[in-house]
Amino acid sequence: MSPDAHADVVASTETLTARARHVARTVAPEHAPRVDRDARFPRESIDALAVAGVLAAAAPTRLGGHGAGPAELAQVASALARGCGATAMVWAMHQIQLACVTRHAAEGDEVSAVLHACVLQDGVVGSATSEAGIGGALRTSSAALEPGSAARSVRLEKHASTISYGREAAAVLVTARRDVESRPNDQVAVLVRADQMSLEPTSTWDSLGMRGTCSPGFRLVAEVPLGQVVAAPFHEIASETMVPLSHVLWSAVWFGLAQEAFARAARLVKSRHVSSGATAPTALAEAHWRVEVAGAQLESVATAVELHWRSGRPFTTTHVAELNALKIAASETAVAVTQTALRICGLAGYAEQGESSVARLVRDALSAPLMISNDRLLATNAALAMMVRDTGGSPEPASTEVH
Amino acid sequence: MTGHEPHAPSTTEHDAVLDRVTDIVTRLLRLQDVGAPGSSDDLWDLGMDSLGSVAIMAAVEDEFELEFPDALLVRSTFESIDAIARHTLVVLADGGSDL
Repeated sequence: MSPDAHADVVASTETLTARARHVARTVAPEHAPRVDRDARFPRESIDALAVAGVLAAAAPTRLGGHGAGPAELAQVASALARGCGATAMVWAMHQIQLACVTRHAAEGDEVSAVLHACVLQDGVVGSATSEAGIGGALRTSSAALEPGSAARSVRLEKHASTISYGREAAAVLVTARRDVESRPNDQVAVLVRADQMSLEPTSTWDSLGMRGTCSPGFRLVAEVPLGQVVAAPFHEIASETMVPLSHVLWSAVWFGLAQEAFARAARLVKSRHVSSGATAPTALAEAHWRVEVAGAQLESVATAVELHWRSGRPFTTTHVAELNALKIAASETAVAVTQTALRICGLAGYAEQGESSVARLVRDALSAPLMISNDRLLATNAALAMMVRDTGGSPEPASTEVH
Repeated sequence: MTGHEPHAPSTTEHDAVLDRVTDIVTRLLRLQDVGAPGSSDDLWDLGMDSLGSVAIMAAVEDEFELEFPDALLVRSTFESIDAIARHTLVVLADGGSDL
């Protein structure tokens, strides 16, 4: 799409979701097959989102974004997933990093300045939270900040088992222990610009699905000014922003995959019905109710996170259990619905090309139960479920402070 | 807080709650060998994770036959023995009904 055409998109549509939908119907599906086949970054779609003014949606307006909240971000993520799952997931993970920095860095500090520069150059911010020997345990680090060679600088070396779109990121948010003496859970987050780090690949990214997210492992070495360490402790960033928004936006992406698979199956069933009078299979109704349930749960939890952020109150055990339940349900729904669509579409669905193909959707969806293993989340939620309170959907109490 | 303030607990009542909470935390965080934590020590720094905090929540509720309101089931309530004891006393005094 030409820049002029993109400018028209920005001018002619009102909402972020409408703009995202346009990209999802034009640029994203045009390039998705090659992105998927070659396991390469969805550059064209990400650039199109930048031109359409959607790339920095979660950043506040003062930093060049739209200040979009979780509910609107979720709608955008679902819309994008209809055209290209990898584009949607890259976009979603970028929004999560934007929110983590802007909600927890002090206004006007060095971290905010680095982020602003990334937004201005239409860059995406990746994350390096996992670590060799630790895996995906978000709240544990082995890597630690050490004094850098310059005054008021820190050095960091991390063997990250995966860095989301590491080679393509304009900056990476890296977790590490506060210093070499710190406990594994005394973590900070550091925003490192691409030109401040060296990345040595330690694995390749040749995955079943979500191939365009290009997230292999790297040995990351960086030295940055002390000001690029986010002011808030990482436990606060994780519990208040990274985990809730990850669950909501990942779920939104998976929901979009399920919606698209259902839509493709429904179109094929309709055409069979019209041409030969074939009865619609009940499997289509199965897929439909699952999509309906998932959509309602997603909207409910996304709205709850948004209200929480506005209130400034911490998430309670009940809310954490609801967030985990969303992630588990949305990921299982995506797998179930895409596979149901595959059974309905038959060989036309199994093919990698064609309007009834759901092959890439099935493969992309299979990543969902693994992104934070559902087994681990179920074990956590089994414990949290003991402490879930029936809040009855009532508004937040006026205060929880006890002195 | 909204509504009335709960009555200030006596020193004896406060100390008794503190002792019982200390026993629970020491047992569940398996700190018997290194000794009980100080009442203001950060339990997260002592290795408590989210599942550990849930275990402590459940044990305190069972020990004092109370139920914390949802608004109190947050990280800060369980960050130290002192914090747990203070919140326990508040819920014991008024059931946490105005929280």
